[in-house]
Amino acid sequence: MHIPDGFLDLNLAALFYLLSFAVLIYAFRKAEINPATLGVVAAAIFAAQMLNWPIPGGTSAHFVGGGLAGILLGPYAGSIAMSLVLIIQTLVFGDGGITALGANLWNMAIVNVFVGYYVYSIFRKYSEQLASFLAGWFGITLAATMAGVEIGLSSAFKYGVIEAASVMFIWHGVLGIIEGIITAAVISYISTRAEVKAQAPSKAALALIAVMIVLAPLFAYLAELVNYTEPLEVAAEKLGLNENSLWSGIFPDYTVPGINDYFGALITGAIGVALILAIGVALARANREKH
Amino acid sequence: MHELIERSIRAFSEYFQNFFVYEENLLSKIDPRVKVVGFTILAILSVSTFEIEKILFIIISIYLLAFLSGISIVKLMKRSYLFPLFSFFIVLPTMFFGEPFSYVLIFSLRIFAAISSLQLLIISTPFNDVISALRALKVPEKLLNSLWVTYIYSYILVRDLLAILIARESRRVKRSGHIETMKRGGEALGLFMLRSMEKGEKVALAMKLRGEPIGKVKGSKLLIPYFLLVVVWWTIL
Repeated sequence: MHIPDGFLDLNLAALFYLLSFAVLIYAFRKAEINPATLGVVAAAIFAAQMLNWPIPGGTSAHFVGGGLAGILLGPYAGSIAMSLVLIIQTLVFGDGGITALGANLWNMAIVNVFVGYYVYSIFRKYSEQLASFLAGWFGITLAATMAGVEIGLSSAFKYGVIEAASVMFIWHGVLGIIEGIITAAVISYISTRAEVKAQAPSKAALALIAVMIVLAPLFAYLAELVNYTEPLEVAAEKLGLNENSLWSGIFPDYTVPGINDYFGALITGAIGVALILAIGVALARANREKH
Repeated sequence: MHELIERSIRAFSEYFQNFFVYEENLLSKIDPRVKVVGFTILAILSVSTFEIEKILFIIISIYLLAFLSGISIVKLMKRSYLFPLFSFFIVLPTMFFGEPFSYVLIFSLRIFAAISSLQLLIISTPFNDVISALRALKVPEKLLNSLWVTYIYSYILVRDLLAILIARESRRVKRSGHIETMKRGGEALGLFMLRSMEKGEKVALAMKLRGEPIGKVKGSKLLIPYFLLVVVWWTIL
């Protein structure tokens, strides 16, 4: 998910440097953890990120840990710990670009951590395991989608916002399941041995996250305004290919037959989210029954 | 869980090779402040244009500097080619939508230039010098102290994590599937995080007793004219 140099326009890169630094300076003031302690915990997250989790099919995935950092340390200290990891990864390992560092901090140290923390706080009252699974899943998926939006908005990258954001959303939506399971396993272990007390964030931070989430559909609307069309359909048209689906699905093209397309897209989106939630709840219950 | 351990050890060793990549050369004697600012400027110049002349000029400047400093060009290329190649394949399908091949090529080359610039900084500058440079450039002390601790403890904590994983694996008596691996691995990670937090508090107390850990900036400023020359030429181009 680390954006390298060259994918972002410089004005966007500068904007995300400013945004990230503003939030991180505020977080530094609010966090009540000693810098040295924070450094060691950041090193622990760094080590955890290097674990290579085998997944079915012979491949493997890495844990990002933004949601976990938010739950364990609170959003302020968690975002600083993730920032330390990202700065080291850029300056020592060349992971992520130096001009894109601001955007990478925004995605993985701010969006991932804050979203993870708030999702956990909201769902904690229902089930600790479900809450931490969702924190891991939502945190990484939204962070990746945000990275897609940033890249898609850049004129240097010729794919549009919708293409870039949806590829990142789908890919990380799937990988996020692993992130969610690992986060749930870690929190479940820790909560049996220690009281997880994260520092409560301010309402201003909550408002910031809400604005970010509300703004996301605006990009879709803007894409519509500039007459965005599906790239694969354009390619098929140019190559003279015709669509010949074997099965058009329950909701063809994210629509509900007989309902306005926009409302149809909203309904299908809500059904998708509900399905993921249901799977999460089922997994959490199955796990609880086993214990 | 043995697969998790095996794959992770491979990832650890690949990652930590970077800790030993620094080598003594002409560039390493230069003031780290100049290098941090200079190589950042080269990265910015690389990604701020789509003109092939300017990008090639930056690439030649970076590799010439590496050659003159006694850094292996092959080594620098090996450390820089992967992301540009990956990016090349990402943007290649844009040719179906009317983008010329030159766009695909230039897009990848500008990434190559920026990454080469960052890699040259990494090869020629130990991390404590980078920290010293950032300190001299007025980056907040609190952030730098945390950054330094993260760096020096990353290796120790990787070893701690590995020790926990191996200890748990040695006690396992039955074969485990993917979900079981994630659960048991997650538990091991939970234990590791608890221990790390405890260790963090001990380290903070110990550091308080010992005082400031980071040294001062050293080195000459010979590289300034070179970076200025590159910027002026780039502007003329």
